[in-house]
Amino acid sequence: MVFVIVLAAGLSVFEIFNFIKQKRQKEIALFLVLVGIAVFVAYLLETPGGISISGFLTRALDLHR
Amino acid sequence: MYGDTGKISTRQVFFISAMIAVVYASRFTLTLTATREGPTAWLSPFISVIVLALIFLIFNSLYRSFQGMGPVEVLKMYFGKGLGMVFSAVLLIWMTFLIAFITRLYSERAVTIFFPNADINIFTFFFALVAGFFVHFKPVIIARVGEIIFAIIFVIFIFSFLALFGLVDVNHLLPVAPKSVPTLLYCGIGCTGVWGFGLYTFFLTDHIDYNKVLKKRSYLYYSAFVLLFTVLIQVTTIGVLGASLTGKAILPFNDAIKVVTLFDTFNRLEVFFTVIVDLVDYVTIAFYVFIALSLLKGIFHLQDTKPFIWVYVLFIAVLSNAITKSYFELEPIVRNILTLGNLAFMLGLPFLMLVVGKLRKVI
Repeated sequence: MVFVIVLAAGLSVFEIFNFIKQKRQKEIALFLVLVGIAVFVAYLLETPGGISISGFLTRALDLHR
Repeated sequence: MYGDTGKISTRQVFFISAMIAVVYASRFTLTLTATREGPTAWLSPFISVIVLALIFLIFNSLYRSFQGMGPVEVLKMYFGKGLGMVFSAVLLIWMTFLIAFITRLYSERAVTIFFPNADINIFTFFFALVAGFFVHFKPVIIARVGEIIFAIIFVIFIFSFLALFGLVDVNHLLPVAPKSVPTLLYCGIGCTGVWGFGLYTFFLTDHIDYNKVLKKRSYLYYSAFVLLFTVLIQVTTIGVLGASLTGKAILPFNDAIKVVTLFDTFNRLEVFFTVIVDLVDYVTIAFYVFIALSLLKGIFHLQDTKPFIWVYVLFIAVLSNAITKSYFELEPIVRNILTLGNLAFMLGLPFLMLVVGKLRKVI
């Protein structure tokens, strides 16, 4: 997941630089939110046990029966 | 011929939609129906086609009002600004989940069938990168690629059916008892939910040329094609493997093809089949990302979505890792959540649009 963080940072620098040049603040905010969520999910995946949306839904909605 | 307007023709949308519906039917309808119905599972698509025809009738009434507008503008036009935004946001979240799910499904299949000991992230990021590359083109180009893949897939499926027919045991498909009708109804609706994977292409409202509206007979041909291929998939698989084995297999149609040998020399034809059929996933994911970006553009009033392609695709790749931990968790999600979600967005939402549109005299 380090790869994801490095890729996200690289993309951010490149695209945000373009957005700043064009003075598009809304785009910068949205871009940072998307990158932020991606990095946060990547971090959660590295925690012990990780996360599983389908596992959560299966247990929450009692689908395994 | 199609590219005069730079938009996708309704005929192309039909082709691609039918292709996606049939391919997803070959993956999910079998386990969905065979576990509950047993030998009569192959009858469930006959119930599903009624629901499908209903969806088309609704879509047909709505189309004329879509002219050149994005999905968010369409939803705003029908439900008003506030509620339209809410529906758009919910649809965006659902599409993101669906794209992440398909990405995970692709990489799980690659790891399960081809490379059992490989790191799943290799396939996830490869798939996401190819999808990102695809989305940089105009949708009309992807639609043409889809048409070519449709022709190849059509031949592959026909070949598979011909090869499997000789191995079908009719006893596996019987008995058909009247008491199985309630289960047939339940599974039939689930089967329509699986076909729903193909119907999302109709939400590419700003990229479709609605001036060449198809005749009503086209909807009939489309429904008949999807029905015929789904029934043939079910008959050949259950006929060869039996209902019990079909219900337990991960990819039953692939397992049925495993039995086929050509001239007693060529085995493992299912690998060839999987590779060709997986091409559909690239077209599917590209179209889904187009829809998601259109929704993003409409919700946040963006000038251009191109700078967001790579970050969105990266986001999808990471999210797909969080979807599940194994292939066995994916199956109940398809059976219980995705089929219902597809029905809600492909039958419920258009039906609501039709009712509200009639009341507000939009259509």
